[in-house]
Amino acid sequence: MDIRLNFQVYDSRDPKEFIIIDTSRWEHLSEKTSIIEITLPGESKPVIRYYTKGVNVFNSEMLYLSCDDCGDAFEDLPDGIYKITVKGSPDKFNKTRQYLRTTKTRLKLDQLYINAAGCFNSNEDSRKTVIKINEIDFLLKSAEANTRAGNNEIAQELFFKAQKILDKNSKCKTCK
Amino acid sequence: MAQTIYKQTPSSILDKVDNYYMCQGEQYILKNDYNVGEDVDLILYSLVSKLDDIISSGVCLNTPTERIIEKLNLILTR
Repeated sequence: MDIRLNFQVYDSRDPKEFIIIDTSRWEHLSEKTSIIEITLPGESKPVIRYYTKGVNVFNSEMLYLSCDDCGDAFEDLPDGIYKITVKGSPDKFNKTRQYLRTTKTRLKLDQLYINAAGCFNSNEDSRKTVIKINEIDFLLKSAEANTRAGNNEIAQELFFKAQKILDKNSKCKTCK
Repeated sequence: MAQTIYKQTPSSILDKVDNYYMCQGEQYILKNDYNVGEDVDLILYSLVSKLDDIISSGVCLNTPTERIIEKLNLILTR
């Protein structure tokens, strides 16, 4: 059987973790070392780590995002487009995926849902908020679909629009 | 949501849904940035999105997944 490298990104909805599940058919490369290159949003150089042929969990420390005086606590990982490449040995066996991480943004959107539920009273303002939530959700889904198709520029544009509307609507005006 | 985990079969309904999301995204930008065309129908989007979630989860109480795919197909090919 042919060697076939593949992996999936699993969003656990934990802003501090980034999970990659290996789904490759490694054949005779299974005992050899493999690596993963992760290019974070807004960065040009990838972080390089050893890759486990199973479940790989990355946090801010492993992605070199922790600050010196942060102690043992992990930082939230940034949202945006991640470029991920898994390389076998030799590295002619490789697989690259682009992934739009929306974990933190979706958590903020969850908060907006909760605020809307707390404030909802069937008036025009409440309805407008729910429509805005729907619009943000739509923009995120469209951005994710565009990332999967490799349309990064449009994906970024839609993602930024979603964040902008989200920030504007995140303050619940009448209740907490 | 595991956004890459269930989006890998080239001919699947989920690719059609992705195409729908992308087309609607383009329509949104055209309308909002250039005032060209029509607004995105967010009610229809809600329906497609929820059916997408149900199919992706693979769990539905009373209706076979094939029936849901059929219904979603009808909406997307309108």
